[in-house]
Amino acid sequence: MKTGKLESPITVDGTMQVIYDSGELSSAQTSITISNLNGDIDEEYELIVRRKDGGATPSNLQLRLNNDSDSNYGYQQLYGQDTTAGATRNVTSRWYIDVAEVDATGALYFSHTKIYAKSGYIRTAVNQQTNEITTTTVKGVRLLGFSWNNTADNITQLNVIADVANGLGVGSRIILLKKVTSTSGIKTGNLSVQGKIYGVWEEIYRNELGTAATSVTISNLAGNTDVLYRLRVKQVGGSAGSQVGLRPNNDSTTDTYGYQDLSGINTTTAAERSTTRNRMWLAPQGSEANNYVGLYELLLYAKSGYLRTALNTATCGITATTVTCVQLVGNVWNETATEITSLVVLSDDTDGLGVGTEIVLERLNL
Amino acid sequence: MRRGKITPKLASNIKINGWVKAYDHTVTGSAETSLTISGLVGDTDKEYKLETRIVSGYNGYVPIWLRINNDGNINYGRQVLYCENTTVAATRDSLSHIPIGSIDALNKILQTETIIHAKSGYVRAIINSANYSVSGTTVTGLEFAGYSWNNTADNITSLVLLSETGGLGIGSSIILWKKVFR
Repeated sequence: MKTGKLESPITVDGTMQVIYDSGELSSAQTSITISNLNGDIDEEYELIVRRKDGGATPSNLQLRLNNDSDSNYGYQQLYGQDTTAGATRNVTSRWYIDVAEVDATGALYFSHTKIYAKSGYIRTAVNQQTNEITTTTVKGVRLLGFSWNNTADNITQLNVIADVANGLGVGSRIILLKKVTSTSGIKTGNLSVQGKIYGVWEEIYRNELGTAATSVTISNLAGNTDVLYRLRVKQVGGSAGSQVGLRPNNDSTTDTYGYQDLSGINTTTAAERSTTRNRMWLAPQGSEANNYVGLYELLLYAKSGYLRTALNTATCGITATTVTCVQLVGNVWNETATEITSLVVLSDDTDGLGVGTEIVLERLNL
Repeated sequence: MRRGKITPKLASNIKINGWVKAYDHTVTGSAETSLTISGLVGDTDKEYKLETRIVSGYNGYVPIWLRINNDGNINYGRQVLYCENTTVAATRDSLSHIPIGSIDALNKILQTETIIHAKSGYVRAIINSANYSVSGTTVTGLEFAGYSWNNTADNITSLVLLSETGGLGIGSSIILWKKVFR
């Protein structure tokens, strides 16, 4: 059976689906509570936050479960800040889902947190964040593992709290997805949805290259409507050595992009920041030789009005049983006004996107 | 068109050009040592996302391994970046499995997410993140790794999770997402 689009309110068993979207805040807030949750049924949550700091001083963003404010939270973090790669572990009264790295007010933050919510055991989460972004400067990128030392209580609310008043500034947006598990509702046999399903990640572009290319353009996008994209590229190197970049609207203006990355290459850990790029780099420390493979995944906040921020992971330089590098990168495009209507995936070497390269773009249907 | 809840009978029954849950298992009754997710068609599904929350049922150190098509030969490569407390380190090696994480004591917890680029024709690339040996308010370590499976030809038909005896303890949750296309 075919069907057209499925609009909100709709829940589809077997998917991760949006259950809360703050929209871009029109007035600054200090905290937002997402309530009426049922963690024991939902089991998993995915929290995406793009924050514009609106506080008088730089703030961190906390996440509390059931508004528990006791020292019941633990974390281990791995971070890259300029050329420093470091790690810390601590016990706190909250999870820090983004962190003021240095000292800039009014900066942007972008984070993704995956939470295992079901009671019976300690609750855990994994968070990626890129922090304190202004113009072409990305101050930090972090990977965190969290625990909530509560095994008994059903999670009924998530509390997102800035530790400075109005830290959730105008333009901030909080989106929560849950794993949908439903035994009630309308049962269906084969159902082929021809239009959008509200609240799910939908693949809107897929291209496997049969001929090597230097660049591939994904056109006809509506970034201000779509808001969030997830790009996945499996590059097969098509030249002696090529790196993959991304240009929204093919903007090649010099010094319009920046990044902060954290990398592991063999036994070396390192961090690097750049503020003078002409593209987003999906793997600043890696390149693909001929027929080598790299896998990159990038989450992009596409809507105009603010700097466009991206958080990406990369593994590169793969041949046989050699994996050359692994990287976590925060990227920024210093352009706030123009709607994204295309994304150009490009190599810095002619035909660097070799035969077999796959490019996939997903949109979160909001 | 609007509708309320839709409950597809099987993951393959709904085609949304997106991610659908293909496997969902929680360990109950008694701890398990291994489990196999079979019936996969990697060349059709193209991408998998494996999410685990493992509760260790083994009284000691237990690694959790992933094998593709149960390939136990030294056909996997790894580059890992990890940290414990204030120590940051990296390692590169070749293995007979993908170690998605580990747990150092009974009842401690591991949470992982593994993205698998499944389609044959080229070496398979994998990205994994893990939050490991979690107990109380202590997160022992964090790792972020890239893997390869040095097999370009075979369609992926199964994923096998392995541990020490009883390592997949009661309460362990294993979920596999796959892409389903119109």
